[in-house]
Amino acid sequence: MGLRMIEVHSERDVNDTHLQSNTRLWIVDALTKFSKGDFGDYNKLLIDLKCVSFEDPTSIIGLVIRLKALSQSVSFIKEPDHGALLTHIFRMSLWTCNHLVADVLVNLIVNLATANGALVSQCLDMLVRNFLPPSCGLPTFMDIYTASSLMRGFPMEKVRQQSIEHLAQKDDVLGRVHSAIHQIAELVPTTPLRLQPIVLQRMPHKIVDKEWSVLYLENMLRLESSAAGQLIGRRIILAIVDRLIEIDVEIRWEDILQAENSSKVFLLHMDLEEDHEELEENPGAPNLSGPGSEAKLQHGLVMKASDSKLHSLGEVADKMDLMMDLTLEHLQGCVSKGRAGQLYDTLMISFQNTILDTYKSKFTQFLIFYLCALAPFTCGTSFACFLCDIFSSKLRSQNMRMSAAAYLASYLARARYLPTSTVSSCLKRMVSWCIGYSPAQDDHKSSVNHPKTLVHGVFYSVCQAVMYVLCFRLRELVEDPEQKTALRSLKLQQLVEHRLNPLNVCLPSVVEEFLKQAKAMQLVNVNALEFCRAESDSCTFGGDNQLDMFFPFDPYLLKRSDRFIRPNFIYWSMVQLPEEKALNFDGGDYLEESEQHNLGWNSDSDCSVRIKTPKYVDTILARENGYGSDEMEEFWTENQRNTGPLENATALRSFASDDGDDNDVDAFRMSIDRMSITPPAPRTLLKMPARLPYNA
Amino acid sequence: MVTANEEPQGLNVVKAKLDIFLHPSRSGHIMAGVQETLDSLLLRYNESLQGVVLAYLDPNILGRKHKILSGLTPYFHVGLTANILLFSPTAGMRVEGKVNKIEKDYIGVLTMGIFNAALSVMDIRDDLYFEELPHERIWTSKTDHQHVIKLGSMLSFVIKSVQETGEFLDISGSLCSPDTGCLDWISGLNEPRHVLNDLENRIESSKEKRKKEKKRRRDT
Repeated sequence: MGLRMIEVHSERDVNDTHLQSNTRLWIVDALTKFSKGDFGDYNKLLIDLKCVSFEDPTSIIGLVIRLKALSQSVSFIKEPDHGALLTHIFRMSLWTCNHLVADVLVNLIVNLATANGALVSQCLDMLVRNFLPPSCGLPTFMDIYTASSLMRGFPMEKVRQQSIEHLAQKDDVLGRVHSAIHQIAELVPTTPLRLQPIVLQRMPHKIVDKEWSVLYLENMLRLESSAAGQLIGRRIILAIVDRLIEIDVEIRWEDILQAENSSKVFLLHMDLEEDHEELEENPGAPNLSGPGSEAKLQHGLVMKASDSKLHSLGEVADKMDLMMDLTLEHLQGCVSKGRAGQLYDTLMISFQNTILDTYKSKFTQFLIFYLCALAPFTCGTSFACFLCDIFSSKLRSQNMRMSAAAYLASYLARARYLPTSTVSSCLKRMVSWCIGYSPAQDDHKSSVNHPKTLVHGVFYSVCQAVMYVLCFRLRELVEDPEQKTALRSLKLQQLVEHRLNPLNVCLPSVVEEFLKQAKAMQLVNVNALEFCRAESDSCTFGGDNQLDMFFPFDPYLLKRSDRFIRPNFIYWSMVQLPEEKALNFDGGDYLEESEQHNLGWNSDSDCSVRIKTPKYVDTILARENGYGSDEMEEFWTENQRNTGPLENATALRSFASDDGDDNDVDAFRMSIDRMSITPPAPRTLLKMPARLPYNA
Repeated sequence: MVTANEEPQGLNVVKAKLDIFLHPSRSGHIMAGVQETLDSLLLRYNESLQGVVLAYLDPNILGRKHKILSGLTPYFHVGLTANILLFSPTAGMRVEGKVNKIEKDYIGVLTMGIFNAALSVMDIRDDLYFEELPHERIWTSKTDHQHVIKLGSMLSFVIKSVQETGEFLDISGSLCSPDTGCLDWISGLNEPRHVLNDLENRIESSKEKRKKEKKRRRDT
């Protein structure tokens, strides 16, 4: 036909239909001739596509016209023949071109996917690779133009510097990408099936910089809430939780806490792949990972490690924080759309398969905590029941049952939103299970000289759970007349007098605090118990057999995402007896320290407690000076009028328990440390999860 | 379009004997494991069955003892039979589908609501041409203006080729044969016209009868 590629001269040529149809004919001709063995025009087309200068408007218009023509000749593009052309198209990026090119490119991709079933997966893959801009530096997400300019010696650092520019147009580009995926999904019903493996496979490695990990996560969540998400959302959520766990276990409690004091905590020494190495940071970047990196943990500042082989703790914790924040926000959005039940089912799969078995999971489980907070009467209650089912099920492994007991303890104690009826029914179930537990059940194991903590681990874990929950909830339950009778009917006395003697084995801090409160409420008999304790001190306490324990819902330490958790959380300071709180501190400056502690750890939710603090001075002074109890009663009654219901209960209870236990201050403080319920000694916060030593 | 057993072409139910290998963790609930495996076959092309699995019915586990594979893997073998609904399109088969995309160089069609087929411009007969109207795009006929293919039309077309890419089918169709095209138009070609003619004939004849009667009355 002798058609020639017509050169583009000015911007108005974009809408020139004559030029457009001629270009199309030329391209169709080139494509068919190539299949017959004439490569000339086809190669020219490839060169034309490759040599585009994004600074030159004429060049861009040339590209637009060619892409438009291509999208009208997709049925001539055949997979094996025109592989080079397709590779070129699939390696273009929506981040680097202007909106004219981007629109035409998206249209071309959608047409390729519908006209050619074989290309659907590749089209989707191209779109998924546009989840991140080329400036992220990962080879997968590098587009062809950036890659070729890098080959010509364009410095990598300049590519990275474009990230600010790229991120500025994030909403625009991602809008295009997701609408393209949506269009393809509308036209090709099997899209979700094909998309799922691609999305999971392209997920950046956990060591990738936080801004890119977070951006990819954002895309995944966006996909999850789209129409296609109905089919693949579950898998996406599962993958996200798995990734969160992976990052979670990189962070050690000790490091988080030490990062407050010492700055140079390097967590990972990762050997990156070779292609990562050439993308290494420029040496000129400000070195922020040295002294002062802890500030980042607090303020969420953007920072990069000077050496990409070393990831500072701050970087990892910060990434975790951002990712948790995004996911929690997503949960909130989903629940407001009425998807709580669906998400709960998905998270429960993750919980059973991953979270529950993860030895040092610290943050990921708060996804469930928060979801339950959003729907306390449905999800919140069923989660508690689910945990009860696990610990009492003989089909599950012992480790899992112990973990479940630990989760249950921490959950019932900390979840502020949980209805008291749920707490008390779970307690009832736990207590009756414990009482029904007979040592003979697992006797076949004990023959091999196992310590009894090991053989009866589940029993002790559940006992500890009962006591731990009561430490936090006793006052609240007493307040409610209905729950109070339920509480009285709990066979706690039988529990503590069980022949396996749980008080010997459970964490002393929990036991002591529990006894103190329960004694005062006359729920257990004091004398018998003191006998137990005297006996216990010699054998198991502090020894190797002590129950290895952790509380999964201990205070949440990630600063940014804490906004979701804090309002739903019961801090120990909210439960603590007022005078105990004051006596925690030595000498005259206890008030000041108490203030600090409140500011540092419970600054938002505990205002009421903090404001009240000065009044305790009077109380303590009153007691120290030997004032009569009548006057104190007056003080407390007066105090009640000014405070909320919880604090009321606290005040009353504290007064009631005033007799006898004054000298337990030290023990109590130790207990606080062990239970990780008060912050002043945070380094001992973490106790290991309920787990058995394997060599025993 | 309808085979002797009253099913659309390309669909058939086969009784298959399947060998499934299950993970030991499934040994407590074998049926669940079997279903999991069968579910993973759905909507995907299966080479040994020579078609896309649309549904399975009555999975029936054979025997109560199952072999444990010795050696490297702990998986155990479960034999079962099941009735499987297959879609196995072959070239030359005539199928129907709904148009979901109209472009200058192809028509996109969805058969059975799941499988995409593309009719390339080279496989559309010359009689039909693309036209861009102000509010919609159509393919229409040069000779018969009643034949219009637009979004949502049901098409009857002939399968030109079927390719399996991975686990998915890539169907390309053709509208070269003169009796393919929009279903409304095809049915218009045959039955309604006969009916119409028939009606017209009847009306004509009844008119003639009346005239004759009138004539008779006048005559008498």
